[in-house]
Amino acid sequence: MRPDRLSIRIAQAVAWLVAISLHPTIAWAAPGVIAALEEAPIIVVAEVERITRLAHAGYLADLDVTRSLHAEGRLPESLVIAWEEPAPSRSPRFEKGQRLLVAVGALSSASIWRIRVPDDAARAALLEVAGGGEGYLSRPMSGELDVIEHYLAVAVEAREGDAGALHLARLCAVGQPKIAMDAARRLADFEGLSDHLLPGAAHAIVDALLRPQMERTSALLLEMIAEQRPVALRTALDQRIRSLQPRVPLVLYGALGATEGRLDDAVTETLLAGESSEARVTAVRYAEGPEASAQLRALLRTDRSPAVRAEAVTRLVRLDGIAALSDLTRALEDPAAPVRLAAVRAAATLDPQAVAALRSVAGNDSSDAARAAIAALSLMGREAHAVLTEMAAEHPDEAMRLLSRIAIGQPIGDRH
Amino acid sequence: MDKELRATRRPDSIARPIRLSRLAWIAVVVPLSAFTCQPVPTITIHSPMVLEEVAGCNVEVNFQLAGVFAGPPQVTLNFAPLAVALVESPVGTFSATLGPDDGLSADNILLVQATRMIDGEQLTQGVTFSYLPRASARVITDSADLITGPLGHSRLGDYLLESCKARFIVQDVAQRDLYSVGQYGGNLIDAELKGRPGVDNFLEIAPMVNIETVVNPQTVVIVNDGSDGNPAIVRTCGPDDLLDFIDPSTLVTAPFTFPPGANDVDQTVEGCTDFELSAHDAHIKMVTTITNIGASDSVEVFHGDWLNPGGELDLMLTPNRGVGPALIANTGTMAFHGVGEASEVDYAYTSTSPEPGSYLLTAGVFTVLHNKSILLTLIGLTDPNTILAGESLTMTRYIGVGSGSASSAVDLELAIKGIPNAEISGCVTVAGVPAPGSKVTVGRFNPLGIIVALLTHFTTDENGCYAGQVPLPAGAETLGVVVGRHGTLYRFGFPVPPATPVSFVPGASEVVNVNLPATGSLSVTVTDGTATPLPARITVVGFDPSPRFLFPGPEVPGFGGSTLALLNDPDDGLPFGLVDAVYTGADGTATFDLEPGTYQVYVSRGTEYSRSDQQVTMVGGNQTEVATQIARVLDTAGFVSSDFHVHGINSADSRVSHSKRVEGYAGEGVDNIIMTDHHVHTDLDPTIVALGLGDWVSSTVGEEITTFSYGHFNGYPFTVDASRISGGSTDWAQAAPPGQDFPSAGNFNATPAEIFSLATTGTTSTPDTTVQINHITSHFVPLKIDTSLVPPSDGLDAAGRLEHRLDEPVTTNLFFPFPALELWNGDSRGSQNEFLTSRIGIWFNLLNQDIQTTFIADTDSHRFTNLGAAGARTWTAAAVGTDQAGTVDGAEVANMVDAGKATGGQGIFVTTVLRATDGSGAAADLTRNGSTHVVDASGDVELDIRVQAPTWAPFDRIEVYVNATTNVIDPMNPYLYGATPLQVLTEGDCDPATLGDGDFDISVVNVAAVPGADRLEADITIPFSGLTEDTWFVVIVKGSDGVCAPMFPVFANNLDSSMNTTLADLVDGNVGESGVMALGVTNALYYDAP
Repeated sequence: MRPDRLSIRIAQAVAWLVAISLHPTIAWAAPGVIAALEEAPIIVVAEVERITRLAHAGYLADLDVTRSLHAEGRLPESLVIAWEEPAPSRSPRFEKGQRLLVAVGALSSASIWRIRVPDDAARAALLEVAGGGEGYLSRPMSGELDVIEHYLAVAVEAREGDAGALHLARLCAVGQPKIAMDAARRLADFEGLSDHLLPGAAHAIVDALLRPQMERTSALLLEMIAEQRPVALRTALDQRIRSLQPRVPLVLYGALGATEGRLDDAVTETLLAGESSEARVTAVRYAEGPEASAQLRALLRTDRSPAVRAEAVTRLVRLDGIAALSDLTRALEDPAAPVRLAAVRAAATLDPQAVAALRSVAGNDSSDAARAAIAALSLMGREAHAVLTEMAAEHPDEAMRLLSRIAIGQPIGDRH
Repeated sequence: MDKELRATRRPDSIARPIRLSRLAWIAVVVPLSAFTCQPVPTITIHSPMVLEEVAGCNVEVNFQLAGVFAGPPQVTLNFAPLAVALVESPVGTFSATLGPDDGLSADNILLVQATRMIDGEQLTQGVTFSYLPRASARVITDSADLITGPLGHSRLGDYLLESCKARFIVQDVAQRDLYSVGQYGGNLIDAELKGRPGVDNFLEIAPMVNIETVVNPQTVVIVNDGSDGNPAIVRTCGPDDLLDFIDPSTLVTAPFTFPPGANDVDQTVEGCTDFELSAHDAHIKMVTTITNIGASDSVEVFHGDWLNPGGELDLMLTPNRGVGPALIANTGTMAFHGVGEASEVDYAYTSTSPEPGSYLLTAGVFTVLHNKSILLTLIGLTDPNTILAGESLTMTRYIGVGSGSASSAVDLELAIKGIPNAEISGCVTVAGVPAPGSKVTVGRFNPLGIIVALLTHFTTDENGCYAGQVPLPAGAETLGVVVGRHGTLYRFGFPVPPATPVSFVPGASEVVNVNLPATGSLSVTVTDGTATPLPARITVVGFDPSPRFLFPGPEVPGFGGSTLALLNDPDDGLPFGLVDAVYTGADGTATFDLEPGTYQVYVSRGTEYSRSDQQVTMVGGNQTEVATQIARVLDTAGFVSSDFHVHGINSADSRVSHSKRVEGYAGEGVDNIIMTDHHVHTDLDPTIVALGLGDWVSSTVGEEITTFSYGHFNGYPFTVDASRISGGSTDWAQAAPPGQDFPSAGNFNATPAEIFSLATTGTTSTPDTTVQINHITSHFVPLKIDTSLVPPSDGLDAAGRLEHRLDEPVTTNLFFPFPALELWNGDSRGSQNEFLTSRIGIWFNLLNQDIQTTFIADTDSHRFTNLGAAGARTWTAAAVGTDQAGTVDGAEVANMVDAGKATGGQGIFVTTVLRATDGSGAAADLTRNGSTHVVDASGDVELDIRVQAPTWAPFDRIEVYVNATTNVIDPMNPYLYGATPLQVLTEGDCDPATLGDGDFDISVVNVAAVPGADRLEADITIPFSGLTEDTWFVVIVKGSDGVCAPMFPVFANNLDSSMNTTLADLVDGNVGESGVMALGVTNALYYDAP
């Protein structure tokens, strides 16, 4: 940094730092970009002019500020921001010419910054990227900037209400993956989401589900829907499904099933008839009704997709409980590991009724099924423990005795 | 106004601390007495000063009373009585030092009150001050900053993190030293509470990147020195490298599935760990970030920790666990609480992984997977964690240090996870006398009042008291409290510890005091025939009226737990039939508590000594005294006994202190302890001197060179390199540049031949250093070495070699003729049988090829209470003057091993002489100045066999092996061999009094004027004629099962419990009731055909 520019920036920084010092302490440990945006005293859109590497994986970036989303005090034309990378060999997260939305606050008082920037005045001029360095968006789009600006304009306490839910849903719908994922996580933690999901927000969530190449966000939203079962989403989903007939994206049926806990028989029928294994998984996941068990059994036996068979055994045990025991033990023999894992987990929900059957499966050899049975027993309670103890001593197969010992925590091997 | 604030009586309504900003109202009221003629009584507070900001950990309180007051001053801090006592010096001046646990908060008010004598008026003086202590981080430049203790490994240049309560040390980086999980620098290596120095028992924790790899830190920086009032932070960073000590992929074989992506895979990652300490904490927050530094590809990892607490520590696991090691379990909190010499320290490990992880304990080392089930991983049902290019994965855990109670870890977990809890405190007494070291367990109990799930666990302090928190995750709960103490009956004399039901409510406190019944005290004095005090073992035989209470596994669904205990870690327990076993010191005496009851008390000193016994009946509140004599009954002149394989606290998988090691071996009559810790050179000489046992035992520095998958090798003697924590371990894994310690980078482990070279030519080697292959099965089997082939050859293909991280082409034979084989290691029937059935033929295969290799018998002892030191041993030939304990020359011992001049046994000392009959007078023998080879022109020789044993180690069978035929044990795996003797002689009924009933007789020889000072002797000569080729001779002497008595309780293992249900049963000789039988084995003598 040239001395003349440095002195200018020091002068600019003084006013900023006065303002920052009045701001509440930044919760640097708070995860996620939204938390960083919420708590930082300064949020700007800027272009990176220059990157300077410091000692111990520290960096400085000179920014030309083009817009302020939030600032306490007068906006300077330029800023120097600091951050550190989590690993010395990692490339810096910013590069020259990059356009950023960045939340910044006062530089940490940690002594390492005295090593990185020994000059007190220069150090005093620095601002640190909020959120432990995660408080930024690279190449922000105008749509997401608008939503962020509106979100930040909402009073803090109101962010837990309708307005907050609306803007978070919109961020899911228009934000780049980093902030969209973060917004989806926020929605998942939203208390009483259904009560705050106005039509606009519901439609935004549906939009988000339909975004291409945003599978992780979509999956997170589906998890959220399955967890929260927001009835307010039903209308938006119905409307969208109607409007997209006959080519309804599968994710909407997934969301519908997650919301209701089941799918209509006709939809299930259609999905099961399809070529797509994802469609069959969705159908199986929400299968219900008098025919469901028979269908699931058939799928568990015959479907070529391990994902479908895994989902089938999970659903079957959920619907039929111990009555699905024979199907469950068959699934333990499935050649595909994901099916066996699903069977292991499903079996654990049948404790203690399934113990004897699992004992029988585990009893003879060291096949995949026998090992999976021991894994299932290990997830169960005291009766299973007794069975495992017996097998640890008496199973005819040495490997299975070893696995049983591991399952109940008996020492293996010698000290040498 | 001066700097002090004055006030009149504090209104009783003030019941909580007052913020500084609200204290301005504290006014000065000058008492009326100021206007009298007498000097005005005053209270002047000198320290702390008003509005002072105390940045240190302690606050000095100092005030002065001037004038005449009625009674001592009353001092409160934040309206609670001062937690520490005031010292008055000189008269009228009072002082005290307040520490971080003494009720200080950020803002404080200190009030001093005193009553004026003249009119009874109460004066009050007060100050307000802030308490803002700081943690600090700094490079250690002063040795006073080092943490010391049995495992105190810190050095100048390491990094100290210090709070007001504790000190932690992060080792400097880039310091390769093969030593358990501490191969690399940059990790947490020491921890102690402030004010409790010299007890460090923590070895190391190394962040795991991907099961077989760890971070190899190359940079270290103080991120925050703490001067800003925020936590002090030290950060270490480096690439991934193999943790050479560990190679689990070689163990996890079909039908299990080791994740292929974790098998020796070099990944594009870098790891950084922040060690963070706050001023008020006694725990480090450890945050490791693993970053994918690659440009595009994602990496997949099973991440966690390699943790080796290492010291003299019991283990307790939460939740719903007991005391003791569980092999695999959900990651809750692990408490490592000290016992014995470490009783004043404990350590805690807990994490805040969002998904449940698990851990597996083997050989003292914990494998912790942060968010995966090890069991599911082992059977291929778990996927690794993915880190996208440029992204990171973070794991957070907390390492705490406490004052010796497992409850410290529980308290830490409750605080970190915010789990509701209640306070519990109390004291334990025995017949009204405070009982330090008592164990107190709080847990859920069943309708019978038996604890079935442990929630927290205390060890009482020096006053017999305890205090801590009880978890109440589901709110108010009635829990059971049980108490136990070694050598003391349970409450009411019950055979199981009865639970006292206590109702706990979150936020409330309960006091539970327990008085245990009076116990007895047994004092034993041991001397020899000359009234010289003897170090010896006192063994109490009988049935414990308050046995350890064990229970299996968890109550709730989840991964299992091993057999766990309610009060004491069952990992190191006494053999069946024993109530206690104690070693006398150099003064020949020992005194210990023993529950009321009747027992048989035995005194012994290993194979070479007689044994005494007598019945005692203990009465509560009484001391019983026993004086007894034993005598050396075997003639081993010209030989010294060594245990060639001994582990102690420096080994990852042993926690036996140096003192216990020395006392144990002195008491077992072993002349020389060859300390062979894994990767560590341990010198016991200073401990021997400190205990005054220099006349009774010697020590030699050795090392167990511990490859993970292709064998362990004992080298001895070594020197100690004080500049290295390991003392100079042999780097069999061979160093590589940082980030390149992978076979894929062209860096491999040493071959067996290279290991021999490293051990014998390294910087800590001596000209006499020799090497034995330990527990040989673990070498010959994994390398598939078939010793029946000529020459012995390995059968590993290229892939097999790579699996062991070996580089040699398949044309290179991995077999190397080490000078010695540890064929018999242990103290049990099992170890004898393993030697006799599956190892002996390996040795004989080598002898048959004239690969003259020395047989070694030793213990491989890792524990103490299980009497593992009382096992097999080997006597080597020695020169006059070096054949007594205290005079042993380790170099000579090694030379005699190389020369094959040794004999091994457990209860039996057998030697042989092979005599020429051609008139030359030539003979081969095992003596130092003799030769193990003899030539006879006629081809006729005579084998003299001399057997000695104490009368408690009867024998009846002599087997002679001559160029023996061997037999493979498992044709599919032709690496283990048995053998067939050429000749077998039997005595008959194993009773020396019955003569002529077998092939030989045994005589009883009295050797000293001490009751029972007799030995059994047999001298046999066997002629061999017509020898036309080189011939070797090995003799094995045994006591036969069902004919002779086992050696219980001197060698106490394996007695059949079903046949011994009373004290009378235990002491009736136990013939045919299993147990350890006498066994002696010579090394080979060789006839060289002319």
